[in-house]
Amino acid sequence: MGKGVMNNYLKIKKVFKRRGLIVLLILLFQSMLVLGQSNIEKRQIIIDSETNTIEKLFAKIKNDLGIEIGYSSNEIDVSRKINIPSGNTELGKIMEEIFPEDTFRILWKNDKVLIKKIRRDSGNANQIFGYVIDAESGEKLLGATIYDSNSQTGVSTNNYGYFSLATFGENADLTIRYLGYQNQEIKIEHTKDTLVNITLQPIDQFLEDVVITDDRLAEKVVSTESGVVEIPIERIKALPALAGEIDVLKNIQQLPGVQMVGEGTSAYYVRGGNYDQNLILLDEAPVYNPSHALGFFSVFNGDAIKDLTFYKNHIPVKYGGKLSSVLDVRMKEGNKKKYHVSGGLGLISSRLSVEGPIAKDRASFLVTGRRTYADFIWRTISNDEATKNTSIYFYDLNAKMNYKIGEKDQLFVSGFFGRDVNEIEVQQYGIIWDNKTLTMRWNHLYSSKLFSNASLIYSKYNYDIGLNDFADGVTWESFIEDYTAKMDFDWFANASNHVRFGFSSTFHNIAPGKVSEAGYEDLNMSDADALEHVLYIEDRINISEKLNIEVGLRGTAFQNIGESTLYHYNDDYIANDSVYYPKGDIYNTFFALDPRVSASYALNPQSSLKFSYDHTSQFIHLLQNNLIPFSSFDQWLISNPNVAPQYANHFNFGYYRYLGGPGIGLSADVFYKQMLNQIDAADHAQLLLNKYLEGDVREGKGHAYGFEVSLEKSKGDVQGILGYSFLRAQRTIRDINNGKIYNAPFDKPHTIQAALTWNASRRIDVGMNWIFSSGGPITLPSETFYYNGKSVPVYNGRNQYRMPDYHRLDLSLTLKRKKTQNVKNHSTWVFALYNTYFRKNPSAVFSSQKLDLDYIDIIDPTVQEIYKTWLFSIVPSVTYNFNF
Amino acid sequence: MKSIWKFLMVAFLCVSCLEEMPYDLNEVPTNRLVVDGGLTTENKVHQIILSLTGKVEGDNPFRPASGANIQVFDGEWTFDFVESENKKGYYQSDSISVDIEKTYSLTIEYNGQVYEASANGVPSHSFEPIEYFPFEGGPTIGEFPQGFYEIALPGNFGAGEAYLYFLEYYTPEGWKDDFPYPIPPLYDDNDSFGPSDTTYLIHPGLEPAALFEYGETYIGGLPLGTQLTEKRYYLTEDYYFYLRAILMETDWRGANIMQTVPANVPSNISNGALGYFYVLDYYEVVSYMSE
Repeated sequence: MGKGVMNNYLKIKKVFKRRGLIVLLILLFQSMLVLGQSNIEKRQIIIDSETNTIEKLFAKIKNDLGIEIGYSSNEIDVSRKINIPSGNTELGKIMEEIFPEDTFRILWKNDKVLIKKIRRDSGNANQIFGYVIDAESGEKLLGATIYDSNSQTGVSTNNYGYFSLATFGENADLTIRYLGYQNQEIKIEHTKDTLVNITLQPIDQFLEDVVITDDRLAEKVVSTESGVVEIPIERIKALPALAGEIDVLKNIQQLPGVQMVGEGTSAYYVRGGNYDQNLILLDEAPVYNPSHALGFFSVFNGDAIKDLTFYKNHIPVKYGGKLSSVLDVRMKEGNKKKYHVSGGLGLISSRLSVEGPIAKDRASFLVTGRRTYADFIWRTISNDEATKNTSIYFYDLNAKMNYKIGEKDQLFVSGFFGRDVNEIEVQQYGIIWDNKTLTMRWNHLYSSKLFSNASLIYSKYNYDIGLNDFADGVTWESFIEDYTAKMDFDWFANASNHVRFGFSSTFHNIAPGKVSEAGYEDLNMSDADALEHVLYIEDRINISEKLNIEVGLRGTAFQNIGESTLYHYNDDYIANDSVYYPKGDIYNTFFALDPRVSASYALNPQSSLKFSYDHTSQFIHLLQNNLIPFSSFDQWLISNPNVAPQYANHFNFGYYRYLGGPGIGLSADVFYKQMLNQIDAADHAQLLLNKYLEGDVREGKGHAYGFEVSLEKSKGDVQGILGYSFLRAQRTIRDINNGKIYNAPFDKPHTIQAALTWNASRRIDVGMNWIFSSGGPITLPSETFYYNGKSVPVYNGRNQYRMPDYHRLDLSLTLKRKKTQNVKNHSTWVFALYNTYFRKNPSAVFSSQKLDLDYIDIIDPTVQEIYKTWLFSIVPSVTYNFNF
Repeated sequence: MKSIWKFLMVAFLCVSCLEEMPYDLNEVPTNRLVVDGGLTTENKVHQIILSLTGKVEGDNPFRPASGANIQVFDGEWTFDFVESENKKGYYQSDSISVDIEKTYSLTIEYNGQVYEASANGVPSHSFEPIEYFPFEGGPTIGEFPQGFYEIALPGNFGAGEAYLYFLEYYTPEGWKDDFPYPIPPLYDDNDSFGPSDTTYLIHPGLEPAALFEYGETYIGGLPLGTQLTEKRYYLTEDYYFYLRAILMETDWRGANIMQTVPANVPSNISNGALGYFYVLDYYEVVSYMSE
């Protein structure tokens, strides 16, 4: 038992420990060993008035009780005066009073006591700093842990792969870990700050019978972060996917506390927040619509993604502008060592990725592309002109380049472009929507302790809807576009403080809707531009070996700026006045302060309690009036005098436990989230090209509460996660549901998610997903009336009914080609089944006048029926992936 | 354009299926009064229909509210609406001559309850007659012979004002006798041949669902001399939104990407009754097809 406990204990503490902590570990470990053998701290000792120094106390303890006291004279001044009341006293209490636990550690063992001072003062510390790098590709590894067993200090690499570790003494024994890589142990002798770039060797599963083990479960116990999920892309690839398309967002949907609404969509809802309350970043650029093909697939190509981090409980203050969650997706940098080609052929799309060095170890590039080809197939096999001239497809491109200027400076440029095309030539109709991002980053080291990242970021989502059949062709378009400049700093101040701070400015350029052709100017909606300035600072403080806290503050100034026309509305939401603001005029400013606190208290080496409070603000909102969660007709609004910013107060209390040997971690969280100024569309609102759209916005409050439990196994042939969550999410909004409280569309009380991977052999992996959730709320009529030949529904409330429960099982089988030293092609065949047991999970349930089910035409307008649509029965897929 | 509508459904539904679903609504009809009626400036018998709400899934959706007393007051005079002996729930008056500048008040006494509403109209105005041009033939029936014309019914893109639009066309008497070729059918691009549905709710702005349901529609195969009679009933903003809400809850609902969150249609009747009482002014333009 002892050895196992020790190993686990060291793993748990490897990141957040500080100097002197090893003593604590040893003491605690040893105390566990002696537990039940002796209890010397309970022994009584008689103190007299002459016992007035530590030296005399130690001597008395030895003489009276026969107990040896071990200590370092550098750490304890034995001549120090003490004042202990005379009388018979318990030894343990005396020692705790003289050597408080936040400064000293006391190890009790048999007839000996060892006292060590906790070394958290960094005054004499030297920094070991640098990057953790993939040995084969030269890519930075984000979130790798570096731990010095001598100093008992640890740290993780930041979002750019950089670390700075405070160490004490002249020798450091570093252990570096990262999921999917072989652990690295390095001894370093140093008397000053030392630059060390550490390379880790990836585990080659084709050559070695190695199961990737995730030690981060143990780290979660002591980390101040709660609800943070780091998902390596390889793990996502190991799980079944719809039609074989690897989908980052579908994996997010399977985390406890995350809901999906409707089958097949990429949209996700976190703890009672709408999906526009999720910040989605691709290399720091916001992605406003992460969906392809009406949401069936996400825009993230798995070949271009290095890893992703998802925050749903506590959100660090460097992120903001959204209420509920952050998904931070990082693209690969490109192999700095050698050229590399990978790709895949699937039923829906094919993809290709090329990467390699531009200048070895200094510069590299990555280009990936993906395209669907249903339109090619249709054109080839169809004799019908209409089908031949129909174009329905999507594609996306990712590209990244980086250049290492020197040891202190690196440049990165990355971009993404994705397009969806739905054009039906014979109908002279088409919808196109695009996502574009561009990120330029400059990493600079001011010193071993101060790291900076400067970024210029561009992001745009736009859609165009063309109707060539109308008035010689018209197109209406809408877009949301951001230009951002920002600076982020990581200051590794000392062993106990890691300070992150930064600032940014963003210009939001939003065109809610306009007709591109002349003659329709009256229909155009006014541009809605804004400036958003942010300052933030956060300190991760290691107060003691048990208590870590993270305190942060984010300040935002959000300014409406012309050119714009602002309408004024009366109490009945009727526009009764307007003001025109010329270009550059700042006509309104909101200020928001978002304090956030997160704390972790270790109950013991295996378990901890966590608490977080987050205040979040949101100034850009998505207004929807559709039944389906995705529409290319999304309407983005900015906060202005007509639309208040949204705010949330989010409380989370969690218990984390690492069960050690089998690599099982348990987490349980209870949360409450209060949301202010939640928006909804007025009944039957007109969202498109409605210049008075803000008059159709209704505001109110919302709240969500619930708990989540997850059990994760990260060692052995079988790994996975099993989660259960209970969630209630409700809204109270004026003029919606007569102002009465109603269930939010994502109010699904019970959700069970299971995702398992089984490394059956060196060449065979098996994956499984199973999900169950309560049916989401829906609105159905309670009676009808007859009007002008039609049966018109009457509702007695919004979302008062529920859809049937949802559950689905997906399976996958991955066959890996046998690899030898002579064969460089790492190819795999992936066979997958989506919705294995054919359940007809409804994507929508609605009432309608009686329909012809074949032609979806109304055949009897006087009769109402309840219908459901379901998207998928079983969906088999096969994908061939290559990599050489 | 209906095919676009269908295509969008298919595009959204992809490989989906639609089926009826048994669902226990646990419905308890409240027998609320429903008012369907109003006044127009036409010289005609005016009618107000009263009915009651009923169960969602039933075979007899029209449940007449019989035995009501209905009066309309125009500020000077009171007009009684009398229930038809043949059609229960239908109340009529032939004595009203509507002045669009007046406000009309409706009072209904039914089952011991009083329901009230008032309505104004929007003055009508003239408009240009519909344009017609030589018919070029439909894509599926080949070229028509020369001498035929087609018209493009108004679409729903940016009309700027809301109105109900009706078109009636009358071909010249005996024109077929002089025509040497087989008579081509009237053609429109709503995937059907024969008389077209020429009744439209014209939306003031962009209304996607309407756009896809019935946008710009062509009617071809009309000979010279055809009489075109167009009527426009101009709508108040509130009545337009009522009609639009009715469509959202009926014709535009059902397995498509345009359908909106369900909600009750508005009403201008007091005391919890449903439906709408309206006043409409209309304008008629008559034109003839000529070379």
